[in-house]
Parts: sequence; C-alpha cells; structure tokens
Amino acid sequence: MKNKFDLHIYLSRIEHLLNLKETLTIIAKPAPEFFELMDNNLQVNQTSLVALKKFMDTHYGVNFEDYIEGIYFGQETCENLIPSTKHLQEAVEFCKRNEYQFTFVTPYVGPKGMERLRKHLDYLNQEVKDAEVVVNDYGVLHLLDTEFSNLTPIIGRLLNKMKRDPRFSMSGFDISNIEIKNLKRVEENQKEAIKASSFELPVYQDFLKEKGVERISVDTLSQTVDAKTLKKWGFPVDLYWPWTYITSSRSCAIAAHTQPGKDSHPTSEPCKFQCRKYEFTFRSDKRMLPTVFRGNAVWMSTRSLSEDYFGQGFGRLVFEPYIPV
Amino acid sequence: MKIITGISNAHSPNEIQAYVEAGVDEFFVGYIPKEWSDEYGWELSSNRRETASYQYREKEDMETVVDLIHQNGKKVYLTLNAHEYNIKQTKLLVKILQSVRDIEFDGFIISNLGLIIELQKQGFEQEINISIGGGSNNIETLNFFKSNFDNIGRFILPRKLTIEEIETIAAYARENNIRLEAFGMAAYCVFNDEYCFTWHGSTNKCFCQSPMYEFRETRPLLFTENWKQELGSQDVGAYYLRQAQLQAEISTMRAEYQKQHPKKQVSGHEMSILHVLASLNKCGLCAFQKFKDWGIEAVKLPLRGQNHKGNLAIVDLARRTINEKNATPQFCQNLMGSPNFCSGQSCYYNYPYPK
Repeated sequence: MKNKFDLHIYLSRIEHLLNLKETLTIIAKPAPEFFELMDNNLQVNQTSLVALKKFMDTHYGVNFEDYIEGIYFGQETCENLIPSTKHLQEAVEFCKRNEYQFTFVTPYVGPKGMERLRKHLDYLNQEVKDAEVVVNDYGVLHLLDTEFSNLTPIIGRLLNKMKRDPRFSMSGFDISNIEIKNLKRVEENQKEAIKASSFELPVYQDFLKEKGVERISVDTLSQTVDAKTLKKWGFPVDLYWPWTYITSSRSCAIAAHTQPGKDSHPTSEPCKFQCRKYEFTFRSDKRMLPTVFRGNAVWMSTRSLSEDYFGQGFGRLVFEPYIPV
Repeated sequence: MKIITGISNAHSPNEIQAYVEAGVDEFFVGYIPKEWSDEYGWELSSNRRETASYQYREKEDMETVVDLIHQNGKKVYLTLNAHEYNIKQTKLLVKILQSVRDIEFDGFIISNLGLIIELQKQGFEQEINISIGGGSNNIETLNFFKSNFDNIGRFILPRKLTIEEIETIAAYARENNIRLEAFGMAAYCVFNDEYCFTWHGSTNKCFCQSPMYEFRETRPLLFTENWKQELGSQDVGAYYLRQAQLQAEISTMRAEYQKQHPKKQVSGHEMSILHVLASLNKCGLCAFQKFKDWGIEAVKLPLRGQNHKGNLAIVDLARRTINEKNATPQFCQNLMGSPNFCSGQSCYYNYPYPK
C-alpha cells in the first residue's frame, strides 16, 4: 500500500500515557447493558482501536503497537489542563525509555497560561532538544521563534480553521438563495471551498517555513480532505483521529453548570475539574456523527471516517485513544 | 476612548449621521458584491457576517457612505475577517479589493494570517486591525503580529478574556505603544470566536443557537481510569444507581440555588426606561472606566442588524459613560435603570471584579 503514515499517540493525561499498554488494550466486548453505560469516549476508544488494528494489520502487515513512533502529550483547549512540570517530566522520561519521539501539545492561552507554558518550553528547550511542539496560538509560535529555537513547531489543528459542524456531518446544510443567481454553482463552490484552507497560499507556506514550522495539522473532517488537497499545503500533514475538534470557550460550560449560581466560568477562576466527572450529550433531528461536550470543548467522533482518510497521503496519524481533555 | 460600530446597506445616510451625532467615532463595514455571492453565496461570506442585510453590495453605496463618514471626520474600516479562505477565494477577494482601491478605507479588520501575508505581497499598505479571530489572548500574540508586520493598527481583544487578563495585556500594550480595542456591549458569544469553526448563521442557525446545543443534557462519567479492568466487576445496577445519584446531585444543586436566587427578569417598568434591555444579551458598561484608565483605545459595539433606534440608545449609554470623569459601576447601573438587568446575569466581563 502506498502513502504509508507514521503512527503517533496523543494523550492528555499522564495516567493514560504511563499505562499505555492498557490505554491501547482491546477488551472483550462488554455485555450490551454495560456498553450502554459507557460514555462515547470509552466506546470510541474500543471501536477506534479495533479499526486501527485491522487497518494496520491488513494494509501494513504490522501490529500497530509495534509501529508507534512517537507520543503527543498535552492539551489544546484549556490552560487549566496544561500538565504539571512533574507530569511533563514523567512523559518525557517515558518517551526516552521507550524510544518514542516526544511532541508537546499546547493550548491557546491567556497571560497566566502563557507563563506556565513558558516554563515548560524552557525545560524542553534545554532537556529535550529534538522535541516538537504543537502550536495552537500564534503567541506560542512567537515564543518558539524568538526564545526556544531548539524546539520544532507544528501548526496545530486549532490554527487550521476549516469549517466543521456536527449537524452537517451526515446531512447537507441549507444554502440561502437571497440574491443568488445560480444556486447550483454556489453549492459546488462551497463544497470545494470547505475542503480547502489558506495553507494553499505559497506566501503563507513560506512565512511558516521561515518561522521554523515543519508540519501542519488537520482534523478528520466529514467533508473529506483528499490527497490532492494535502499536496497543495506544502508541508507534511498530521491527521487527528478519531476525535475531531469542533469549538471551545475560555468560559467553561461544564464548570459553570456543575456549580451553584454560575452561568459562566472564566478559565482564570479556580477550577474543580468537573470535566473529569461530567459531560454534555447532544441530540439532533438531523443524522450526525456522535458528538459530546467534554471539558470546555465540543468533540465529534469521526471514527467511522477512517476508510475515507487512511491512505490519503498524510504523513502522520495522530491517534487519540481518548478525547484529549 | 472611541466607539466603533458596524453599519450596512440597511442604514440610510441619515441614520449614519445620527450615529455620528450620538457619539460613534469609527465604523466598520462588510462588502459582498455579486462577484463574491454569485460564487460562494452567504454561508461562506468574506467576513464573519453571513447575511445579505449586514453587507454593502454596491461599490457606489459604500463609496457614498465612506465619504460621508470622512466628511464627519470619522474613520471607517473594511472587515475581511472570515476564518479561512482557499486560494481561489483569496484571489477573488484580492480582485474585489483592487476594484475598490480608490475608496479610502482607514484600514482592514482581518483574522486570517495567510490573508494578511497575501495582502502585504499584493501591495496593500492599509492599517490592519487584528480581528478577534486573530486570537489576541496574550501579550506574545500581540508581539507576534507586531514583529512580523509593519502595518498592524489595533488588536481587538477576544470576548472571553477576564477583566484581570485585559488589565495585564493593557499594561504591556501601554508601555509598548500597542493599541487595543475591547468589546463593549451586545453580541456576546458562548464560544471563543477565534476557535469556533461551526457554520455561523445565514439559513443555518449558529451552532450555539441551535436546538441541538440548547437542549444538551448533563451526563455523569461513571467509570474510573481503570475502566477496562473494572468493567463487569460490579453489578450493572450499581452503575445505574451511581448515574442517577450524580444526575440528581446536579439537578438538586441547581434547583436549590435557583430557588434561593431566582433569575431576575427585566420588568415592564424597567423596559419603559430603556427599551433595548430585552435585546441586549450582555453588557460591559461597568468595565468602561477601567478600559479608559488602562488606555484601551476603542470599545466595539457590534450592533449591525439590530433596530436603529435601539442602537442609538446603546451608543448614547456608551458615550455618556465614556464622557463621565469617573464612571463607577453604580453610575453605569443607574444609566441602565434596571437593577434586574444589572443583577450579575448580563455582564460581559466577570463583574463584580475581584479586588
């Protein structure tokens, strides 16, 4: 099979990393009454592992666990969940021991979060000189460019703002016909446009290369991003699967809902990590891919789209055994 | 401190004049000519408003309005703040901008980094204000844009920054001649615009206003980190019991709180004092004095698409607050004239602010 990808595992919690074997274990299918109780995160852990194992087995002829090249560790959406220094060091040590490439994933942050990241980046810059850093905030890219030049930036999926919406993941969206002459033409152009991004611009690619960027990222989107498009982006591409990021807020809805008298909960207020205890679930009148509100973000399971993407020519699969919260 | 607000072809010249007289200093406009809408419709607008009524459609109309604003000594910016443009859209946008190059906009409002770089290459030297879509959540992001582009004007601060975070950023900005703009009132959003990639309006409701989002349900997470080992070791009934307990815990807590602190509705009497209260989803008026003290250059009132008379009342509130020497929260709340509206449920920023 052509277009082989490298396999990297993305985890946001140290427990999942230190117990990697268990994280990647496929268990016997639970009885239906237990399966029903399992939240989407746990169900998709199993179904995606089965899909990945089958794909690697069939197409690469390898056991996927032996094929892992690296670990992505960190957080993309909430600065309160940035790992502690201790956990970061443990993650780095784990990777050294197991000879995995280490990639630190960073979220978008306010001023305090940036200071926490600065300390982590300083540590990595000195101790793990070949580390990669996934950047989801231009401010973090600026830090890497100006202060931490040993680290290699990867443009994260939150800086690739292609449209996605669970409501239209399996059903089409409506198109307004106000003052539109040729609706068919608009529909075709819209379909084409949402499969693309500004990474296509050569001047943008040059700019990012000047900043030391070596890779860019994309989510598994229901509109499907094909090999032809990826080629236009001028960088090796990371594909995140099976949890696709949809939206997030620095005012955490889960934290607000699970404490008295709150309609909003700014990131800078003390956090009791209710995201570890509760989630929001959704229902829709439209057919859609499974979607949950976990932590301060909405995530959609694109586990079922693996066949559309694997083999499209992206360089690296960033496999998320769990929602990275 | 200046006031900036959005206008569209729904506004007559008289209405724009009325805005000026009420105290608006700067305007922003969207321009979607047929050339764009015939290709991409409204859903993929070239700015963050996906509706015809929020845009100018004809160059002549826009030119007239820009002239009128300039004659009044005010400024006007063109919004080009969609999150993403592919290469074809970028080329079309550049072509459209070239066709209106003779209109003297005071600057552009942009989110997308690629577009900023492309416009630089194409020789557009206008000042660029970084839209909230640029994600200026921290000082380093300001430095990123300032150190890479010579023509950056203002940074529009994302709406989810707290007052303390704005203070930190503003202190740095003041020392380094960086200009800031903050949201003032109206158009609050559940999510961070710069990281919200859902369909945004037009015939498809915004995700955050859709029934799907509105009727979300809380679900307790029942399993521990060791779920693979523990699954099946307990009776299934124990899990259902735990689920019911956790759900009840949240429902009881919220119900109890609401009983003790009932949500305050704006009364008819209060509405008669200020009729815009019902349509004003959030208000940051109490923060204006701090913004002034910290050197924030402008407050944004995103009022496009709303009733003009109501908008004028909001502009008037903002202007009176800015002009007041010491606009305390009490002063602002008196202006609003609605203790129920100002009961803490409608605040843009995290008022009451920690000391």
